[in-house]
Amino acid sequence: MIAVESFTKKFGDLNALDGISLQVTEGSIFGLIGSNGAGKSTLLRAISGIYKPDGGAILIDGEAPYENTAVKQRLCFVSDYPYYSGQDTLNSLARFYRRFYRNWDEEEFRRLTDLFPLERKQRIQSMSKGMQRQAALICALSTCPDYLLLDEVFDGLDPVMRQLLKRVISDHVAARDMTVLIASHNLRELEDFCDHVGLLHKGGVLIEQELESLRLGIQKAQAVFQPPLDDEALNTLRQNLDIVKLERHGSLISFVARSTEQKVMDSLNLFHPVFCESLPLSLEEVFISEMEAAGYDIDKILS
Amino acid sequence: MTSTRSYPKQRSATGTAFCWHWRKNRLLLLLYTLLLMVSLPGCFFLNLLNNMEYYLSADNFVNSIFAVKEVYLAQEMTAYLTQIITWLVIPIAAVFAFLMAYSSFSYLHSRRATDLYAALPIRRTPMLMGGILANLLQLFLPLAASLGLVQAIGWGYGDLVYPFSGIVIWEAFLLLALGLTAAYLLFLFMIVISGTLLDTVFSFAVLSISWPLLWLIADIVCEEVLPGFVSDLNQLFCFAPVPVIGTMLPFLNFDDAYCFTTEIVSSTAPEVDVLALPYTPGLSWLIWWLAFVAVMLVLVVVIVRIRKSEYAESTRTFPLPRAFFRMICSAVGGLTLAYLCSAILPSNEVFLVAGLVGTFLAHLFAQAIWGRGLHGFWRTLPAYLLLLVIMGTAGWMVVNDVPGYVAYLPNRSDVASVSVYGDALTSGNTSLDCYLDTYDSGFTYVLGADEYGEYGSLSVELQDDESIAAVETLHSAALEQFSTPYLPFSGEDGDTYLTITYTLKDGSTVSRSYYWTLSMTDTLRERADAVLALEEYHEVSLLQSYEARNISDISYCLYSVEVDEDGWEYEDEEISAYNVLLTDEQKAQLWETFLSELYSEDFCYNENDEYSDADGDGYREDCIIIMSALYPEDFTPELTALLEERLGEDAEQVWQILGQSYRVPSCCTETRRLMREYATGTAEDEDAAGAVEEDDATGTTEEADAAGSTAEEDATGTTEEEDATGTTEEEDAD
Repeated sequence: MIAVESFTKKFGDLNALDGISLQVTEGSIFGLIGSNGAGKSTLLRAISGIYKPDGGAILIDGEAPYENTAVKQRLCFVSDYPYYSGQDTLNSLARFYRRFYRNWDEEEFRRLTDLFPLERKQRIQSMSKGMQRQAALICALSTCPDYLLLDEVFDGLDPVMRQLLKRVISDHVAARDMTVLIASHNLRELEDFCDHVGLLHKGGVLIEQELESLRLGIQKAQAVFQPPLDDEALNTLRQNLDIVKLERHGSLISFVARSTEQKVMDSLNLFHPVFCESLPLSLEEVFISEMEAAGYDIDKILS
Repeated sequence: MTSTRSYPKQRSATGTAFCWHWRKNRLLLLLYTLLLMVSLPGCFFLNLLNNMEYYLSADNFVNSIFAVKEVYLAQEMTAYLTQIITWLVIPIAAVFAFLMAYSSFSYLHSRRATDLYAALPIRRTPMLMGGILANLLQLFLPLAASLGLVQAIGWGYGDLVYPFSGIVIWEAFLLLALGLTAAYLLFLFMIVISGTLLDTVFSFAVLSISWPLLWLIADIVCEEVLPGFVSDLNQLFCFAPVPVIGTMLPFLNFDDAYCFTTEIVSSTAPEVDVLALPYTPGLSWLIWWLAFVAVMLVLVVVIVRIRKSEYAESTRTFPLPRAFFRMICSAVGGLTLAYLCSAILPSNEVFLVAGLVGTFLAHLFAQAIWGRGLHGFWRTLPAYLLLLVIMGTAGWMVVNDVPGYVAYLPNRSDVASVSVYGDALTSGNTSLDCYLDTYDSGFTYVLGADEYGEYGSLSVELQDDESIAAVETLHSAALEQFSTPYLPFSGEDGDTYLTITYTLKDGSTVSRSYYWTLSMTDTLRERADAVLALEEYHEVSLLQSYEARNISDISYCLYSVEVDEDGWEYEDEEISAYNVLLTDEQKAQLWETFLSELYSEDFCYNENDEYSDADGDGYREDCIIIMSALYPEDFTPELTALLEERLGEDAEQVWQILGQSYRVPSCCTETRRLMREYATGTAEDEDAAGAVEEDDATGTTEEADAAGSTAEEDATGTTEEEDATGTTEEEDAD
């Protein structure tokens, strides 16, 4: 299990992450989402043992990863821009990983290289961005890590490769109870892949929840009232529901609330709507709603 | 999913890192090896073939004693090897030390690479140590291999290149290994304290250039400002943080190389003493670079352990080393500008203002490079102000002689002996003392048998209480005249000097030199004459310790004389010259005549005497040359006694002293006449001699044959004909 406890990371005068806490359970695929500069990559680097915490602690199965060879043997980090030297090929990269990782699985490496359409002897720097990412992933998976940390891993991959990657990772999770922590802006890709999500914003954690319960726990509803609801009725509605965002257009109101579908419908029915419905949100909509609730002015950005 | 895990052979973490670093730099290793092979065994072998053809060809040696040819070849090849090591091997190895260090640890300067390497399951220390070991081995193995090939070439040619039989080669290797390790670790230190390549290179350049410059210019300024200041800049200190130059020092030391080659040349048997070490680094050199390596290694390990991964590509990494480098850079800028401006406009105010401006500009420049602009400049100001305080304090201490350097006069009870020399002593004096001071008792070099790396000097060491008191009185007069700093600072030297060196009873020496442009005060002149009049001062003449048999030859040169715009005459180009070997009878006659004229009441000489010979034809110089190298078997009883008196127990270690050239003044007319006679073979007049001289304007030594003298062997076993090979031992001795 990965436990992040009051973790703080500073870069000079900037507090990149300020006392965040979250937990990633074994065998889960944890999606780390957040706005630009929220600290997703910083958190991944700290969990990988690249950054030393300035405060708090990061524990992997009870041990801090920083300068801890035993822990690092069990995890592998694929950064958003994997590094390759000029002469690196997939074969030489495999030699490099094999040298350092005791759990290197040559059979798995061969299997994955057959699965992904890559030339082992081709210079990696001459490959496309997506292929370079595939190369890093092949090597990372071949180390058979217990914890796989992926930063923007879907960037540059075509849809087929994305599905293939998801399948391969899922296989590893299923076969070895591997834990995956994946940071991405591509919420649609995470939506059908992750079982947990954490939402980072301005150095803190806004949400850390199982994806399904997150989906069920936040609802988008719209209802038509005749006559339109007055302010007093709206306030009552707000008191009954944890409304993140509410819009009123004449007799139509639409809102996003942190609540179950049943409770939303019950609350609306109190005011006898002409029409009402409650829909689960996509992850992207959850993200936007929560960000707005946290003061992230989406409209201003989009206008 | 089936999974077959392969567990590679377990290595230690350092071993794993070592293998990876080794593999990473294999192309550099190949290139480095190729360059060294071309530089060392390649060039050496070609030069050996060329030299063998020259030295072992019978035509090139009048005397074909086999061993002598061998030693000349060995001398040539030793010198050539030293040259290759100094100017090719060390620069190449230094460049590759940097390239290998950067190739292995450049990931510290790249965020993307840091993401990969810092996440690897290996701790930083073994990763670092594995890299250091791999890099050093990659530096040393090709070096050892190429030096081994040089040795193999030596073996292949048997005794011909006997100095390459082992110890010389491997001593050079050990010195190079130590120096290169120091250079490598300094490069690595700069890499780990920096976040970018530019910062690494700039930090290294600033330290390597600024540190020696700082002490050099501080020394120059002190010499210009402080009365009596004697520059005693230590090479090792000047290049203390510059290991690339520091590595060169043992190979650059001409004196050591000279001693070594002299030793070889003087040996008629190749196997005698040929294993003498030409590269004598000195204990302090060894201790310093060993300490440097140890300190750098510790620093690098500590810094790598505490270094934050986010420093990659950052310009804000470790502030302390950078502040130190910036302060050195600023100090150099300030002192240099102050020195240059004061030389143009001598004024204390100019010196101070220029110093202030110079330090600020240098500080600004350094910060602009390190900070990529002036962002954060204000944060560096405290360090700049600290520098100003340090420099101001140091300047105030120098000007006010806080350490008491200027006013220092050793206690008489502490003084074992004192030497005094300088043109101020004899300036304007028309006496034998003046002549002896000029030609005899300044410095005569003494080489110790066990100390190949060091010259001793046989200078005038006054030991009697009366003599020491007289010199101290002279020193006191100098202190009275030069009690305050030479201010305003002008950057100009005087043209007259006086140097007094005390040897204290604890073995240390205290030396002071005074320069001035004006005439000496009456008090100074009077006290200088009192020193010249000392009985002990006369007793130490080497001239009286020689005998006629110590004469090697006589020489005559005629120079054209030019007059400069101030009306001063100066010697220009040589227009005629000869060297003549004498028979034993001629030597005896000449020496007796010379000494009688020298000590006659009519003897008259002053410093301008050299130009008093100038006539319509030019300025002439007749010299009696004592053998360039005198060995114990050549020592006269007087010389032996003199050495014992001067050197005490060390006299037993004297292996050789270098001879002198005595110019025959114009008042020694009979001596000069004899020299003409020997030169022409007849007792002809000056015109006839002049005719001969014109024929011999080439200045070669073939007159020896013309004079009918025999080519006698000197005590070294070499022959007079060796001069014909172009060696100039007399010049070296001078």
